[in-house]
Amino acid sequence: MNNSIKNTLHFIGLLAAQVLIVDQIDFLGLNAYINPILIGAYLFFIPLNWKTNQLLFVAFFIGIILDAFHNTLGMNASAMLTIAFFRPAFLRIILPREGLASDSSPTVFTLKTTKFLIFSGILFFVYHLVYFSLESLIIESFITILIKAVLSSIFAILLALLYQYLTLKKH
Amino acid sequence: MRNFLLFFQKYGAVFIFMILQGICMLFIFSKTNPYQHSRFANSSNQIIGNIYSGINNIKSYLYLQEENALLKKQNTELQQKLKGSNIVVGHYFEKKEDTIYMQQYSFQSVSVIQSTRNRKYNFLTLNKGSANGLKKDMGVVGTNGILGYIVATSNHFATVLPIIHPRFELPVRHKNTHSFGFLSWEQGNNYNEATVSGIAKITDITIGDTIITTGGENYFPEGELVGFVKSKTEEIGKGTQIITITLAEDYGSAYNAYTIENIAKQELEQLIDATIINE
Repeated sequence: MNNSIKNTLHFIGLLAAQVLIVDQIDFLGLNAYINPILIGAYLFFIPLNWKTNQLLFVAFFIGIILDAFHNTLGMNASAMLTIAFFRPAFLRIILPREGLASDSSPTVFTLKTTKFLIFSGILFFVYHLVYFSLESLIIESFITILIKAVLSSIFAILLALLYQYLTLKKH
Repeated sequence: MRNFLLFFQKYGAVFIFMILQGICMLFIFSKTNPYQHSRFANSSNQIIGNIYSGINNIKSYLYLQEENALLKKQNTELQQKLKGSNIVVGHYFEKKEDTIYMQQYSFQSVSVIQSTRNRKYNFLTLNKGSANGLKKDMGVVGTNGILGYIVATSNHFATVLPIIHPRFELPVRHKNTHSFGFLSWEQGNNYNEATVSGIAKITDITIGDTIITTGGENYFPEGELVGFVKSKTEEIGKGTQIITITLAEDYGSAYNAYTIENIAKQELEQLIDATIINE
């Protein structure tokens, strides 16, 4: 299958998972603190040889689409842009010394579990930190935002892992 | 020129990042209301509204029994209020012709097809829009109590600003003493709580008292249920008390609702404007 078609399908899949499933989950009354946003996982499917410029525009577009569903115009887009911008830097820290093929993407199968957990941990933590900071706009204490970001990131990582095990073939 | 191009080639991503971030910030901070400025991208948009109503079609089957019980309860309450007369709540606004009473409010039944309650900026989406006569600033009442008011409409969908949104404001009244207060959703309020401020310290308020609408703010008729007093604290140095109330309507399970159109809205607004000019 063509790569761009695959990417589009992953985008639709992640959006559907977010809107149809994750948004409907009741975390036993802790929903104010656990509010995972899965869409950042889209960056795991983008090949390493993509230019940052290209990635930024795609990230912005995806963020705006999710914002339309959540009525939070700009917030998800801003968080998405931030992680898209810093993805090459994160990857440089985490990539195995021998490197990956330039057309492969940083999924759980190519990075191996430990490295993927660190990579997705940084990515989702930054995403939720930006998102919750914009959402509360200085009203909430930084500790609350931090707790929210950590808890939501943990659930987002688990859900992203589940999504990849369901959709990708281990080769 | 060549240097400039090289510079851009090297740092182009930074520029694009900053420009797009700037657009995001414009979106977030531009207007006072988070709904109005997002006309092209919010849940009253046709495509997204249709997706949410599809989800709702499936979900509504799961809650049929509970909703039925609630509706039955509300029906009996309405019948008791009317003392034997009938009311028709159809799909279009009903207007009664009467020489003694002028009808001030007309109702229309709608369904809440989408709701959030665990975010900071919560909102609801309704399954009807301007094609059914819904307009901005119409009140929305659930089966238990008030839900909020409409802030944006498309042809077939409408978005509601609920009580549990930082920008919601409404004057309310303590039922027993008739004293006025101001309803808002403060930081630290749960999704089933809200805050009433501005009621004088000497007003006798007990836990469990009813808070109702005033009828003077254009959105709701007088006496619609808002919630019950949960706790109260004195505001030091101001002579007023802050009351935390439990909301009557549960945003997690809001489904059947009514929109309220105030027919005398213009008259009331003109009167208030004239009063302000005369001051």
